[in-house]
Amino acid sequence: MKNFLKTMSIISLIFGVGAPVFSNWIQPAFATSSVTVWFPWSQGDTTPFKAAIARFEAKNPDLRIIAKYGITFDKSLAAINAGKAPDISFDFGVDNVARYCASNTWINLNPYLGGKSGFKINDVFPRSTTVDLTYKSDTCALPLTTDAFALFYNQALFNKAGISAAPKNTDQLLEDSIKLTKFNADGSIKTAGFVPWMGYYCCGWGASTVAKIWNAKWYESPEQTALSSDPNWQTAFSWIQNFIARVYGNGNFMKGETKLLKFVAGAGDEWGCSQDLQSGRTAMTIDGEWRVGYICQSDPKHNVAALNYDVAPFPTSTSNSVAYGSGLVGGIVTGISKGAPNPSGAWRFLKYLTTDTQSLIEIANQLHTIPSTTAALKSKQFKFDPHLRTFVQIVQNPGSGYKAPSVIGRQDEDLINQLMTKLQMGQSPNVKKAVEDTSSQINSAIKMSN
Amino acid sequence: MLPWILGFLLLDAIPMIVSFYDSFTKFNILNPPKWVGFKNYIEIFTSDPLFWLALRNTLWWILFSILARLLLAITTAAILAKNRGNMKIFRTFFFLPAMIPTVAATIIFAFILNPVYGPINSFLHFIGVKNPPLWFYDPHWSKWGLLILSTWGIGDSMIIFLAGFLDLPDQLEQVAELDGVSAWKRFIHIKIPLLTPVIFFTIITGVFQGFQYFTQGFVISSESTDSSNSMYFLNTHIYIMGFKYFYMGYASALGWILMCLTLVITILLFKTQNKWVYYHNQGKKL
Repeated sequence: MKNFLKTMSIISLIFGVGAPVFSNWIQPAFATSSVTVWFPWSQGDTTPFKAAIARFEAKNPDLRIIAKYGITFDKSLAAINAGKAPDISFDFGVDNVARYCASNTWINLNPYLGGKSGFKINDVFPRSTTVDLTYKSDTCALPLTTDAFALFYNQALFNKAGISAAPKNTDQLLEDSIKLTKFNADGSIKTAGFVPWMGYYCCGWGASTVAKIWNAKWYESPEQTALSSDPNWQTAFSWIQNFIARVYGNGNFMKGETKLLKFVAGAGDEWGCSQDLQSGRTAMTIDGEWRVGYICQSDPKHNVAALNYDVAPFPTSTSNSVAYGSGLVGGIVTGISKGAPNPSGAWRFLKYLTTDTQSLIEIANQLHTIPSTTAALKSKQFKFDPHLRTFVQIVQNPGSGYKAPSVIGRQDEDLINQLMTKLQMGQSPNVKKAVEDTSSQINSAIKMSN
Repeated sequence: MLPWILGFLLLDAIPMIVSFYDSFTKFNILNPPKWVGFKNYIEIFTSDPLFWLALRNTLWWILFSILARLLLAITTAAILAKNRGNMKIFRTFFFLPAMIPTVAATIIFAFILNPVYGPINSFLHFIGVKNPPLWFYDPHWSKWGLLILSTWGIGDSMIIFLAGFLDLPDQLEQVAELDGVSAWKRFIHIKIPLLTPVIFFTIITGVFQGFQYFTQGFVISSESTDSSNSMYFLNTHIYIMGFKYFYMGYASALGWILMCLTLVITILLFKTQNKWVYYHNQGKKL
């Protein structure tokens, strides 16, 4: 009896403790193939990905996912170039997708999308998340999660100024800003209504936002920028200078520019509780949905007051009013590498990761972004701060998107941002020439890329 | 010898040869390099306004950083050489900032020179300056802000000049003092000429460092979200073109142009040294 119990204990120990260890050995023996995925996230951010992999492997025991974490896309790019590509990699942003499509860095997914296990992109994703992932009819990436931009406004300052609703167009934005802007005794800006200034915080104001507001075209053709041919760009630049003059300079652009430069120099920490919207230094600002997660709760000990704020789609120009409700949308994208060892296996996992509602919601919650499929956006499981509702609506608006895809990545946007900086500093009195110079730089860059 | 040869080949010679070849190709990392001849070089000189902006900023930087470095290092070393009793403490005190990592020092200075809540502008307000500079937020002042940042780390140059001062023969100065020559004239006409080899060394290394200047300008541009390109230097341009836009062939060509510029200026400086550098062990007259 003693020996029997001893034997049974040993067997129980082996299966009880050893089984989890052995299962890692057993499963690969059953898995007929594997897929390597390089994730740029690390530490706590990997949790939802690990959960997604576990669910996928449970449903697909023949395919093993080998996940590596903390590998940014530049390393994936180097590996692809060296012929040692992972099957799947991720990039933050849609800027370079056209480049990846054109160079086949990420393979064309059309054969998979149209195949037996494929699906119609528009049936799964809102248009805004995929419109910029195609270059010359080739789709080489799928969205994982997405960001969106909208207008944050200080409700308390609005109430004080007697403004009942967020501005819907640029005329209202100008008038509301005049009402909201306050000056100190020495003439410096105390509260800014709105700050259309390149370099004021990271992401809300720039060429992409301006193009969306004024419906300015990026390209006449893949080789030719529309910067100097589309009058909407010129209208936008003139509006910005007029805004600075009227709101901050009492009609004088250089006065307004000087005051605004000093105001921007004193901006609070973008990622802390002294951020200008939070502190009431600015009444309205365009920012991404992540700002909701950064709004601080009331903390009298550290002099932080609760912020009474709301979110609305950012205003459009008066000639572009039909686009109101749409916005700037773009986020994390993923694709299958050129030279991937197992592209068909990679497609199975890629499809799962980018379309599984539970996985996408968990990832979006962990990374403080928005899931990119229609099903996830409408799912009751997707619980979010009420302030995020506007962003969810923006993502689902068919007019939303990012900038036009280009083989020069975000170089076009950077060059136009530099032009906007020169114009806001009054460094280019001949606006037409400055625009033409930037146009030819963009066209040269495209020629260099081709 | 073999480890050195291997290291030289793997880390210097081969990368240089590959980079030279890449400079004549269209190479965007995503596709294999494609031979285009001198196209990259022609593009740089004829169609790239950012190159000329970066070159102007870099030459400005080289000139003023060398001047500032010489002035401050010589002054500090001269004072320390006179006060030999307290020299060790002050020498350490002046050298310490040079030990702080560059990025950390840069971020600290972004706060120090913040126009609204930084201590420098608070002091300027206190002494009655109505509109102090906006430093890194104003393209007219941003490079001057970088210059102030660079002088914080003059410890290494100061040490070299201090060694130079301590190595000067006393006899010439004593004879001049006996003849009634003033301290200032002794400094200008005896000490400085004897220090010209050290000055020459500082200028040469200053030229190398100036052409390689990158980190502080890049970090400050991000901290102040500068879009005006006032802190855009040649190495910034190489980095942006190569690693942000993936124009590796173009960036390689920029790198070789940078190398040639450094070489030309260094050769010119060496050619001029006969006219103004005094090596006292070669028996040349002052």
